[in-house]
Amino acid sequence: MMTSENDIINELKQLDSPLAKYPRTMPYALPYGYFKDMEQKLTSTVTNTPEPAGTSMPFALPADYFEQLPGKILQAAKNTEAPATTTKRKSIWLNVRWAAAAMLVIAIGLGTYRIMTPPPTIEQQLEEIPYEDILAYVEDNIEDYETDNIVSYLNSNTTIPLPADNINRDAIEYYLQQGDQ
Amino acid sequence: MSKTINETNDHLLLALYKQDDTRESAFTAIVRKYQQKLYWHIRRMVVEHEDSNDILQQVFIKMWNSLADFRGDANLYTWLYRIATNETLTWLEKEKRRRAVPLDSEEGMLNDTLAAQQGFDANKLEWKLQQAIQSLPEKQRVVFSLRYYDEMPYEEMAQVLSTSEGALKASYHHAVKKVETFIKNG
Repeated sequence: MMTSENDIINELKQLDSPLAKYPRTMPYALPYGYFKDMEQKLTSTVTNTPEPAGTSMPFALPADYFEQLPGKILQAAKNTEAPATTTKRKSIWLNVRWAAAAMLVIAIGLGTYRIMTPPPTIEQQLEEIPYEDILAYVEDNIEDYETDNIVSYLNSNTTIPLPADNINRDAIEYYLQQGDQ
Repeated sequence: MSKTINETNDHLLLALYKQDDTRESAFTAIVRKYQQKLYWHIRRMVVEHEDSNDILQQVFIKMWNSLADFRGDANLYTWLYRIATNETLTWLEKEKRRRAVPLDSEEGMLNDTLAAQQGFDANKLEWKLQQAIQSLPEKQRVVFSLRYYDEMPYEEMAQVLSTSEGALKASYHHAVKKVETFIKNG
């Protein structure tokens, strides 16, 4: 048997209670939309399915964001054009610097080679010249002065200073043989 | 809506719930139908919204888990109220232990919580009534709430609380007198 509001009121009146006249309203506050959300939340909970996220984005956005965006993009694009020329110049200068560095290395290398390699001695240089050329030179360029010097040595009683005692006998014989030819 | 139609609708919802393809929609329909009544029944007992929300969700989750085994010997309405009342009383027991409240002073345990509610005004009658309800013992609080606010027949209340109709009627009448005295002495 369903109890109506009147049944409740009548019962209280029978008890002679002032509660029969009191408002039966609940004074507690409730979050907005609480019961509407409850159905969806409970269904998701019991079926282990995630609540639908919906299509609305929860993120905040700066005011006039989309209105200002084209201008900002254009400005940013202009700012990125200038560095293109500077980049080309930087590239050429970089190549020049690399070439200069390479040349310096080569020069240092050559210089180091020359320093480390001693120049040839007079004897080494003479060895490279053919004997016939040396003889021709002596015959063409010996001076009378030098001939007189040689003769004067021969005529004088002075002892002809001999070269060092370590003159090679084979060298003398070779000299004499050369004179016969 | 008459009781007959209401019970018919509940039987239909239960039948729909027992079928796999209509279980979710039946569950949603049951929640939509009883959530407000159950919520306020719980909140009159525990006062705080967050606590009420937790208990209410627990009630419906229990319903989901055991509805398939529901034999239908009681109507859906009283069955849900029984779950909600038991969950609420269990919560109050835990709260008493947490607060280390002595057994002989459990009444008024939530007075501070009540006074902290948004819009609380001890001079307004509706808030005085809530204070008066909190001064009642728990079981009596349940009886008063079900009868005075939910207009539940004693016959159904007996199924919810597993108590005789006579005992419930006596308990309610005592509760009414206590509330009157509390408001009068305000």
